[in-house]
Amino acid sequence: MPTIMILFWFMPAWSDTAPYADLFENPVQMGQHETLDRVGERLQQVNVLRADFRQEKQMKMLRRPLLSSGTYLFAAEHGIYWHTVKPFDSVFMLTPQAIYQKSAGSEALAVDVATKPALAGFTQVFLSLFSGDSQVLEEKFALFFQGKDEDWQLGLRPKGMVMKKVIDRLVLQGGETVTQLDIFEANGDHTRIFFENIQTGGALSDGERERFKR
Amino acid sequence: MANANASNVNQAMASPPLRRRWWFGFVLLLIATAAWLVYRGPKIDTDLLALLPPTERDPVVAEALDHVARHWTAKTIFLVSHPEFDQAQAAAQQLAEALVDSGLFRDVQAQLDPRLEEAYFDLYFPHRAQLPGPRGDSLFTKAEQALYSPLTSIYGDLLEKDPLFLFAGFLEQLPKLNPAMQVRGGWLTVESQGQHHILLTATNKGEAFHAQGGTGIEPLIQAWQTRAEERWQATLRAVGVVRYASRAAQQARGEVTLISTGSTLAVVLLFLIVFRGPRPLLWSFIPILTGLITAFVMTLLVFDRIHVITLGFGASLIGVCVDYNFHFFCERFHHPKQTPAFALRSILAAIGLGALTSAIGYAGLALAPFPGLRQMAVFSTSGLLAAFFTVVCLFGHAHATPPQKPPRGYRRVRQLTTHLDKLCWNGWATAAAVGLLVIMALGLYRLDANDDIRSLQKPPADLQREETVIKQLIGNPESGRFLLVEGHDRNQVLAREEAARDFLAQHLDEPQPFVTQGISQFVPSLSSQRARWRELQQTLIDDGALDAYLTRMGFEPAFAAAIEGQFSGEMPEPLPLENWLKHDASRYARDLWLGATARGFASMVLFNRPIDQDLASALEQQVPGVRYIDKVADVSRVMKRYRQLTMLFAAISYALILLLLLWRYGFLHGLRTFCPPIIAALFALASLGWLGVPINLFHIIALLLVLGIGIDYTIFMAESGVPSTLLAVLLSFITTCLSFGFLALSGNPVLQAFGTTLVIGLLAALVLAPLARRS
Repeated sequence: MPTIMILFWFMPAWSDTAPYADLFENPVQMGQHETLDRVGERLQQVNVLRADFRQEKQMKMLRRPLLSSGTYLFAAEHGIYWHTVKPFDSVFMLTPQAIYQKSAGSEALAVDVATKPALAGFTQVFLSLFSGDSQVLEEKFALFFQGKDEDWQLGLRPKGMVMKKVIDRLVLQGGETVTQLDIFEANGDHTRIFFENIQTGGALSDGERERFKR
Repeated sequence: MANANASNVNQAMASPPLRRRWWFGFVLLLIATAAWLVYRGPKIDTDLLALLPPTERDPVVAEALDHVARHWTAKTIFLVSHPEFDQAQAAAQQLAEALVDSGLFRDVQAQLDPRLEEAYFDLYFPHRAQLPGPRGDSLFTKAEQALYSPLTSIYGDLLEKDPLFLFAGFLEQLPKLNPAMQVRGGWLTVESQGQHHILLTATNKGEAFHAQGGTGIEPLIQAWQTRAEERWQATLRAVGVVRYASRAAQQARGEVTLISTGSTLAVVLLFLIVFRGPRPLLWSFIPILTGLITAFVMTLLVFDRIHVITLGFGASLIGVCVDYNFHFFCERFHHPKQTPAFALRSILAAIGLGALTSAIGYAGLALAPFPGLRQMAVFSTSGLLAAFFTVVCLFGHAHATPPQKPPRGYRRVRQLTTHLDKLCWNGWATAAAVGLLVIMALGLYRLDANDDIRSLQKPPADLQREETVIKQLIGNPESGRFLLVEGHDRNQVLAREEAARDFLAQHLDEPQPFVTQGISQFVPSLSSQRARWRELQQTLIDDGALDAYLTRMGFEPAFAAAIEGQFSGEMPEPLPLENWLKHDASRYARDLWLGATARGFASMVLFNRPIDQDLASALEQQVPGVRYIDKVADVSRVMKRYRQLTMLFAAISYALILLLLLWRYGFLHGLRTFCPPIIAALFALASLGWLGVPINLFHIIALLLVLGIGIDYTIFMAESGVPSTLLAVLLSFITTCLSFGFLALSGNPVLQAFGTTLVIGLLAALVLAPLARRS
C-alpha cells in the first residue's frame, strides 16, 4: 500500500481530537496559571465523590460506540470504584496496588500492578486525576489548559514512553467538579465519560469501605 | 544334672587362654571396623518412612513414589503473615534472601518471575483456538463484557488478533487449588481474616530425610520466626517433612541419651549396692561395651545406615546384656570356694539357653520386611551374642578373689524362697486364679486394633497447627494421595488424565468444587485440542455465530473478514507436550510429569480432597492406566497384614517353646514351665485392652520379645530354684524392666508400644516364674 494511503488510514484517529485542537496549543505549568491552580485546589479538596456516569467507547474496529452507564465512587485514600449497571453488571476497581474487575458469571480478575509497569503508571495517573494531585500530573504529563472557573478544559499528554504506547492524550472538563473525561488511546480508540448527579464530601459508609477491601 | 552338663561343656569348650585370645582377636577386629565406620561418617535416619517396607512391587509405581519424595516431600512451604501487606512483603523479602543465603535450599520460589506472563503468551497465544475456554453463548457474552472493560485498552492490538478473548479465557480456567490466591507485587498472596499471607516455597538440598541437612534447617526456621516477629511483627509459619524429621531427630537424640544414661545408672547402682564393690561392676562393663559396639558395627555393616529408633531400642539392650553378669556373680557367691571357671561352667547351660531364646526372640523382629525392624533385630541379636561371648571367654578369670560377704538382699531372697516353698495350691489360690483369668478374658475382649500408620506418628502440636493454617490457605492439597496416570505414549497419558478428571468431576463436584491439577489442564491431549478447534469452527463459522456477533457489535467489515479467516481453513499445529516441558511457561507445573518409565510414560494428578475407596476403584476400572495412590492407606494395609501374620507366627513360636519345654522337663513340669510365658503374654494383651490402647504390629512383635526374654526367668527357675539364682533373676528383671520402662515413656509411638508391652509382660513373667520351680 502506498505510504500516503497509510497516512489517510491513521488520520481518522487524529481527527477525533480536532475539537480540542486549540486546547492543545495552550501549554501551562502548575503554579503559573491562576485559574488552573484554583481548579486544582478545588479538586484536591474533594475526598469523596459519588456520581452517575455515562460512557461512550469508540473503538477503532467498531462502527458504533459501546455505550454503558452506572455509578462511580471516588475515595481519596482508597481509589476508584466503578460499577457498571448497563448493559452488563460489572465492577471495576482501581487502587494504588491493584486493578480489580468482576463481571457477573466470571471469576474476579485481580491484576497485580507491581508486575506490570504500564499499569502502574495508568493507575497512578487516574487516581491523581481525580484527586488533583498536581505533582504527579506535572511529572507524568505535559499540561494544557483553557477556560474559566465555571467552565474549563485541562489537556494532558503523557511524557513517559510506556504511557505513550497506550494513551495518546486525556482531556478533563468541568466547572465545580469534573464533568467529562475523554481518553484518546494510542491505538485510535476513544472513550468519553460523562459524570452526572455529582455529590462531593461526606464519609464512606462501612459498606463502601468494604468494597475497596475486595 | 548340673555335673553332667558341666563335663559335657568342659569337653566342648577350649581351654581358657585360647578362649581369651579369640576374644582379644575379635575385639581388635571390632575396634578397627568401628574406627573405620566412624571415620567414614555413619548415616543416621530419623524419619519413620525409612522404617517402612517398600509397599510397591510395581517398579513403575515405586519410581513414581520416589519422584514424589524427591520433588514434593522435599519442599518446605513458608507463609509470612501480617495485617498490612507492605509489612508482610518486607518480611517476605528478608526471608527470601535468608533462604538463598543459608545454602540449604535450592529452587527458592519467592516472587513470581514477571517474565512468566510473556512466557505464557509466547507459548499459548498461537494455540488459543485449541485450548479449553468458554463455549457457546458464554463465549460471546464474556467477549462482549471484555470489550467494555477499560483493561482491554491495555491489551491494545491484541484485540485484532483475539477479539473473542480466547487466550484470556484459557488463562482464567487454569486450575487454582485456592481461587482466592492472587499475585500482588509479584508475590503469591491470600487475604484472609484481616491478614495478608504471602507464600514462598523452597526445596531442601540433599536427601529429604538426611539428618545432617535436617538438623541444620529446623533451628534456622525457628530463628527466622523470632526475627520476623521482632523486626516486622509478622508471623512466619513453615511446613515440610524436614521440620518433622528434624524435631523427631532432636527428640530421639534426647531419648537415646536418657535411656542409655538411665539404664547405665541403674546398672551401676545395682552392682555397687548389691555386690558391695567396684570390681564386679568394672568387669561387667566389658561385655556390655563389647555388646553395644558390636551391635552398632554389625548394623552399619549390614545396612550401611542406622535409624534413631534402632539406637533408642538398642539402648535398652544395656538392661538385657547385663543379665549374664548378674548370674555369674550370684553364682560365684553360691560356691565361693570354687574358681570363677567353675561358676561359669555351672551357669553355662542356663545362660546359654537364655541367650539363645532371647536371641531368637529378637531375631523374630526380622520377620516382617520392615527395614527398621530388621535393623533392630541385627542390632539386638549381635549385641546380645557378643555380650554372651565376652562373658564366656573372659569371665573364667573374672573376680578371682572369692567374695567375702553375700550380696545384699540375699537374705531377703532366701526368706522369699522359703515362703515360696511353703506356698501351696489352696482354695484361695484357685479363686484368685479364676478371678484373674476372668479379668484377663474381659480385657482381651475389649482389645482393639489400629493399623493406621498415622497413629504411629505423633507430630509436635505446634508444627501441626502451622501445617493446618498453611494447608487451608493454599487450598488443601492432598500430599499423600494422588492419581498416577500411565500410557504408552505421551498423548495417551494426557488423554487418560482427561478421562479421569471428567469421571471425577461428574461424581465429586458438591458441595465444593473438586479441583484437580494435572498436566492435561496445561497441555490438552491432541484429540482435545483438535476437538476444541472443530467445536469453535462449528460454532463460529458453520453455525454463523461469529458473523452474528461481529455484526451485532458493529465490527468494521475489514476486521470482521480477517477474524473469520482465522477460524476457517486448516487447524494450526497442536501444542505438543515436549514443547511445553521445555518452555519457561511450564516451570511451576512441570513436576507433575513423571517422564519415561519402563512401561511408557507417566504423570501425576493432584487434588484438593481425598477420594473415597469405592469411587477410586470405579475410576481405576473405568479408565485403564490410572491408579489411585494413597501411600498412607497402602502402608496401613501392609501393617495390618503383617500384624496378622506375626500373630500367627507368635502362636507358632509359643507352640514350639511348649514342645521344647515338654521335651526338657517332662509333661507336668513342662506344662508348669510353660504357664508363665503364655499367661504373661495374654496378661500384657489384656492390660492393653483395659488401658484402651489399640494394638498394632509393634505390640505383637513386642510379645515375641516377652517370650524371648521372659522365658529366661522360667528357665532359670526350672534349672535351679536356689536363692542365688532367684536373686540374679530379680536383678536382671529390674535392669531389663527399667530399660524398657524408659522406652514406654518415649514420645515415639513405636518405642512406646514396645516399652509398654514389654514392661507389663515381663512383670507378669517374673511374678509367675516361680511356678516353674522344681517341686
